[in-house]
Amino acid sequence: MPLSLNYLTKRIVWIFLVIIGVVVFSYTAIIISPGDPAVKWAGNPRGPNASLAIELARKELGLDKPPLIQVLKFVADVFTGNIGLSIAYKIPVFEVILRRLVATLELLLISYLIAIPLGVFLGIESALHRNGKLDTFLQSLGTVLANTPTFWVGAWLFLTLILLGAYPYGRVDPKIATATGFHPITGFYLIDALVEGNLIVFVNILSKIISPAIAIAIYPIGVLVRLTRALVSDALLEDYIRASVAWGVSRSVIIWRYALKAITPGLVQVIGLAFSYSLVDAMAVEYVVFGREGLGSLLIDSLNYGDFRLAVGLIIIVAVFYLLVNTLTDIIQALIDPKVRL
Amino acid sequence: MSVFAKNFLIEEISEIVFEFSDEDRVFLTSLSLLSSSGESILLSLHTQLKQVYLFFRSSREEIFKSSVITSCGDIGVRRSVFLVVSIFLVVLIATGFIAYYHVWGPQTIKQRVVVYAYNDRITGIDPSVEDDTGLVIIGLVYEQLLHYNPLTKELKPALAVAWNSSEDGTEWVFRLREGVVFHDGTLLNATAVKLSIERARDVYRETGRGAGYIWDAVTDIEVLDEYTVKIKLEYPQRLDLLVAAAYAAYIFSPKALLSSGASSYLDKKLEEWFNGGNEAGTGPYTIEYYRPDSEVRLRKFDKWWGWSLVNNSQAPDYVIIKILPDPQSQYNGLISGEIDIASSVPRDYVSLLLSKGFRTYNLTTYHNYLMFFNVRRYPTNITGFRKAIACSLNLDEAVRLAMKGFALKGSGIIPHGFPGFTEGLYYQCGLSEARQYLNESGVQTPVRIEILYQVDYEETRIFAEALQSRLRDLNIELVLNPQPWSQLKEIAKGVWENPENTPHLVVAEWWPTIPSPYDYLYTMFHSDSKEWNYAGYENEEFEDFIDRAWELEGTNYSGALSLYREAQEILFNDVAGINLWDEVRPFIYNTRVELLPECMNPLYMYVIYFQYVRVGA
Amino acid sequence: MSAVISDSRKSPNSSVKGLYQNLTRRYLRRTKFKIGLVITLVVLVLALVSPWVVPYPDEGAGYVPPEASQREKEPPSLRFFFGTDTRGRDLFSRVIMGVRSAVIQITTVISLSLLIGLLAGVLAAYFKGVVEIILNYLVELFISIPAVIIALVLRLALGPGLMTVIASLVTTWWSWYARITYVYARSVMEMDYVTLARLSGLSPLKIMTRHVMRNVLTPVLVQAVTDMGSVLLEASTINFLGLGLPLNSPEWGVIMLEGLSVLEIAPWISAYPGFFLLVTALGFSLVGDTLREEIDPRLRRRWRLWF
Repeated sequence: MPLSLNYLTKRIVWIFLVIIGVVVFSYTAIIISPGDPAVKWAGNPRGPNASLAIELARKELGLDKPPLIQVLKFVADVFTGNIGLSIAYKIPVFEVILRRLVATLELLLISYLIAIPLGVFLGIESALHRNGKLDTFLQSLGTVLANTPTFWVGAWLFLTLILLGAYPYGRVDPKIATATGFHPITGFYLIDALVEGNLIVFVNILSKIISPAIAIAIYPIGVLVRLTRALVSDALLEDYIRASVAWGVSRSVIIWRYALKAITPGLVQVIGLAFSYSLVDAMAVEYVVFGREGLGSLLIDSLNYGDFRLAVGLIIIVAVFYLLVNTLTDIIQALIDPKVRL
Repeated sequence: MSVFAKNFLIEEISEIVFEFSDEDRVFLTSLSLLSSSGESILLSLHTQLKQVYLFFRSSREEIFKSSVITSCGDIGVRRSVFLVVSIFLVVLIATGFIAYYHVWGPQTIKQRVVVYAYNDRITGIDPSVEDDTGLVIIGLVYEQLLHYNPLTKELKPALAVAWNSSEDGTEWVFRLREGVVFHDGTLLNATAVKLSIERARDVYRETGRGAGYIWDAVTDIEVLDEYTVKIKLEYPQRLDLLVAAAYAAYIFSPKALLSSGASSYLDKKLEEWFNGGNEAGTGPYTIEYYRPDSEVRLRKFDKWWGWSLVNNSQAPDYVIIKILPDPQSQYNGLISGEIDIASSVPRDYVSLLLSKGFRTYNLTTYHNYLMFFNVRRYPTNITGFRKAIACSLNLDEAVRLAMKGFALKGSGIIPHGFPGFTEGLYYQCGLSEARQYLNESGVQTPVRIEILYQVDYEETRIFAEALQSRLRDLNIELVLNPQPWSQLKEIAKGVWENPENTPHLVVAEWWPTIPSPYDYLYTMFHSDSKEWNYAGYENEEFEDFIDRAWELEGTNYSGALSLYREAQEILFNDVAGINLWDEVRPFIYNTRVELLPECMNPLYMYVIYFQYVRVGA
Repeated sequence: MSAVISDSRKSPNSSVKGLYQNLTRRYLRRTKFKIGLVITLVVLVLALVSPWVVPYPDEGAGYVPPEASQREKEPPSLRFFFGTDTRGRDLFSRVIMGVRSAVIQITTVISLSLLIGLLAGVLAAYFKGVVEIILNYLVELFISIPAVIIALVLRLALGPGLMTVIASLVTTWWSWYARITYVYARSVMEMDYVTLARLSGLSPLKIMTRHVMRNVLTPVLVQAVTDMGSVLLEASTINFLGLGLPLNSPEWGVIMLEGLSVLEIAPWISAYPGFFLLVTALGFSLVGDTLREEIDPRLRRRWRLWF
């Protein structure tokens, strides 16, 4: 077992400490921010007892205690799993975040499902035709793609679809969903639709997820094309490859089995990093351009409604996500690469 | 030689060396160790090695190419796997795009589903406490005792079928409709009514939340029998109008206490239970699921008492209220057919939509925009100066530019069609009179004043800019200060404690809770209402008028109305605040649905009474 | 090798000069580098002279002239090369003045994060122990939070503005440079000549600046140049989400946000700024890429993503 208990415990403790740091940081920043959340929590009260409502709201939010106590109390709350009720929606923050996280995750997974095979394939082809016309073309394309702003591509895709008469907003058409009795269970709408055997809704959801997925996939495709080409060129120069050629092993086996296996650890590492980066990309594009609910809408909503609980919840979730992706990448690498021992 | 160059050379050499076999490597490494003594040796070594290396590299490229690329040139098995993968992706993407073209045919729709796009999130659905956007849901899921339409001045029975009051107007008796059943199965009775009203009143008294202050005069509610309830008041009031209020007047089932695990009707648990998506109402629709951030789905309640009276077999089975804050996406939703009724499309697009065959329901709302003057700060504390600004306004132009014609010019504080509306309170003066007032006021120009308005409202921005250019003619510089709503509120209410740092002009909007002018006049201009009185206005005569009028409503309604009128005239002469316009909101809907006039009522803003809506196939 | 406490002010002999000439020739021969250099130079020049080059400089800065409401959302024409935006201002002026905004953001962020990052990394490598642990923790902490999230927090705390953008980006990027510096610095500290310098009683400051910093500077600087493109993209994302500069600022992300609500009737408003973003980021990226290929040619290295 390439994974040691030592590593796991160290990692968990580390994540723990980082989360504490993140929570303290974000809560402190919010405490010093202007604006009074108590008024919003009280629901903007009217009439003679309005100030009473605000007083009570302040107590409920814990804003009457000194800042240090507030921060400590908040850290304790977070770790008992209680981030509280959202000020804007009055439902538990955790529920809102979970739903939105799953939505964004679904989008990211579909994006990477498109990006990884495409990027790797093109990268390999590029390496095989090294310094040829295809190679230069693909490499320049890769550089351009890796530097393209996602929301720009997203806006173009969106515009094209609108002009073609499609409606790429949202995750699913509510009428079709109601009429066919669609009930999301996991939150991954694609899986839910398949599980319920609801093909019409499935196609509808798919049609809405494709364009943002493509927009988000642009960056990883660019990165992967360049990366794979570099890695494959290096890998093919190894001695064992030369030996296999001498032995008469077929070309496709050399490329697609030996070389691919050799580059997988490097690929996994980079894909992990790119995935974390794409989370931010997805957040920027999914709500503002495509009107899908997800972590991006959480960002915008917490800002518009001045809901600091949502904001803090978002920060914690994203930090946890980053840390988990890093850990996962390390673990996958350990499992694949015998040289890596955690 | 600098460290950088040396290191660079060493690196290059070691890299070249890496390519050679082991014996050569040892030799060359030992050579590089001598570099400290002879820089020239290092340089010449480097040059020679570089040439050798370049030669090797080019020939190695050839080996590379020949060995791997050209051996066995046929497409191997594994390559086709990847081709298949790419084809699969292409097919996936193609399906995605093709799917846009209406996959859904009419035979799959067995039920009538209507999608109503609403432009703000739902702030909660507690029938006794909610006083904001939750009305959209509450209006369909719960009912009041009576239903009032100020435009037709019609008071319709809802949960109460008959009512009367005592001579002095302090005792009211309501007879309830029999056979009404709550969504949870229990029957409506007088106990439920008593509980609902008392909760609304007491939650406000204890915590200051909600709109329960409308029940302030209620001293006692007596259950005479199962279907009769008597309400005693401290002072006479139009209780029949109050029970038809937009907020805090909804009847819920006492079983909710049990279901929520609340210990008493004041327990916070009950409120949290409601806001979690549960309901206990009598209305024509029940909540199927509740997501205040994205959409709420309502299902037809077949046991509603009113279906036989309404006689609408084409009422929707499902109503989906979709939260879409962006007007552009509402427009797009209408065009693509995903949305049936849109509450706010960009005003410029209305004529475009009408030409495409959509229809509009232009609702004259009680939603108005007022401009408050900071009467505690120089120079707006001088009446003459305020009059000058009032004269420089051209409200017709403002309505045209800012609201694109979808508004009625404001007259007095109370909006059109609302009880207490006073026609004719327009400032019929122009720039010349403005200049005169300005001179008389003694304010030295050029002078600089500040206007505060909401940043995401384009209409207020356009208004502010128009005012800015008009005031320039009077040599008054108007500084624009757009803020998000929460900041705006914070800043504006500072007029009481810190008037010198509060802007001179504040543009704010309002819509009523109860069908009484007191709602507007008290909250916005009474000195006790410091949260919402952005003018900092304090006038005993005015307050006396409206307080008297409020008390008079119960016994002499028309007398009360004339008192309200006089109160507005005081405000008009004092120029404490100006009602800029009353919004006319176009609700655009497609040909699939039919919105009859009774579907909407300006008192219950944004509520669409879907029991009256007809849905075609 | 003996301790290299050499003086770089010694006059280079002719072969060294030839070496440097060799190097520059090698760069300039590459098309990639040429394109990148051209773009970067154009960008820098525009950043300096844009207010004087642009036809409507005050509109570019955000001012709305009174007659502008007549010419809202007009398509590109001879008078307005890129058309007009939602308030009637000339889009061309706004986009070109956006170059200035972009360059200011990039340079401030990169220089501040380099400063802090280098300092932190060298300190952590030199003073082992508590300092190392604390700095490591801080680095890990800030690497785990993307800049956009920090921008949200700062936006709630500080409000909109340039400060928010710069502060959030610096908070993320310094940790990146700190880590790189730390790794390099640690390996330099192992080297014999540094130990010799310490034993010979050289002051810590001199050791850190002369030996450690000098060797560490090059790869980090190259990384910084490559990063410029992604800093620009991240800054625009932050502005695009409304977390940074307010509306009406001459910044590409902000202009794109404004154009989003009128995308169907006026797509040019969002189209041009995005294109400029792409080209500028590409330019920086090409230059940085070429530099990196030269400095760090073939040694097995971790592919560094621009974050």
